[in-house]
Amino acid sequence: MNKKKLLNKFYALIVLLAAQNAFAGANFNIAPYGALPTTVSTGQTVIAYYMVTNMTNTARNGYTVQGFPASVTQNTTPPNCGNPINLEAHASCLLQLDITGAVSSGFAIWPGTKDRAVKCQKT
Amino acid sequence: MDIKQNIFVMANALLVSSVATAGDMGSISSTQAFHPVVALQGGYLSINAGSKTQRFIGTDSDIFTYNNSGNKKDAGFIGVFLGTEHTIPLIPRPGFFMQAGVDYNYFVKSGIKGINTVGIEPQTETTYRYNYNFQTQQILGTLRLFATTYERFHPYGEIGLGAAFNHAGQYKATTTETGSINLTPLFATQNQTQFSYSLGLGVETQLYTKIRVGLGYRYSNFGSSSLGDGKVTFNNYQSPVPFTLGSSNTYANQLIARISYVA
Repeated sequence: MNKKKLLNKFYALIVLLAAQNAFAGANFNIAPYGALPTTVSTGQTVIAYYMVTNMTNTARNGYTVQGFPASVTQNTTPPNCGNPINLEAHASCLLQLDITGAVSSGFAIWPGTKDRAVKCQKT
Repeated sequence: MDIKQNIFVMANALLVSSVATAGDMGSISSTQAFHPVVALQGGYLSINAGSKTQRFIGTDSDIFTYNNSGNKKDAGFIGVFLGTEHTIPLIPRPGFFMQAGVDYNYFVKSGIKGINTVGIEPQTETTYRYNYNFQTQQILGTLRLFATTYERFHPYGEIGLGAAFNHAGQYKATTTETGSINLTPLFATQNQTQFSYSLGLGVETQLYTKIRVGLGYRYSNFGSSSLGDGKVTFNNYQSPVPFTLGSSNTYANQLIARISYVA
């Protein structure tokens, strides 16, 4: 069986993922939910879950997950996080990632879609 | 007329007008002749190249705050002056004379650093340390007016107009925070040509027949300077931000030592 190693350090934009988050400030917290898979066999799919929590005091709407390699897709079947992700203040949802191949990069939660730039104004 | 043309015109006006006026004086004695001057100069400077605090708000309500931890940086500079020395038009008094020429100065790069926070609310901020480099070069048409006191001391005042070539780049941002973090943009390197001027005072003294040394103070303004476009980057995904870091008023206070050869 041709097993490929799965790196379990997923990053998330606004949320860089790691096992510990006690020392970070972030608009979202992304934490592994249950054990993360460490290997995937050819032709199989393994699942990784992350709990995504809005850490702010306001609703956060219209976020998307970016940076996936082709071997990772977001499963939006309820009650998982949808796409886009909309969360009330301090609310959480479960992000399900279906993985079919080796992963060596992370992912990010991004405000808006890929085609929408972050708009800012100088104060 | 763009800024380069303006600078060229002003520098030439400064030089050519003084030369032409001097030439209109008619007969001048041998002491009033034009004397080529070459001077090497250098010294210490305190440069201000970063805004104290800059704050930007994103549509996501993310607040990007940049607190410069030290606006004034100590550095050095070197330069050369090429020009002529002659009497002052309309003031043919003994002991008064002027230099007109081109001044080039190279300023050693300064490191700008500070603290950057990114987050929607204070309790959700991620803190970064950022730093980048600022470096400039200056070419000025310079007019320097001298008087003479105690026979061998020559106090002077100077004014220069021209251009500064500002470089801001090598931007880095790092965080020691672990776990979930908010990402912050990185900014590109940028070179800008700006209108520049300087004002100075000092005194020179005759070391040998054709050699003079001097000490002085000079204020130089380099105009605005900023980094290039900023992007939040993650893997192959990039999102531009419509703001950048920099200063709308970059300037330096300098202590100058100069050695001049007057032919």
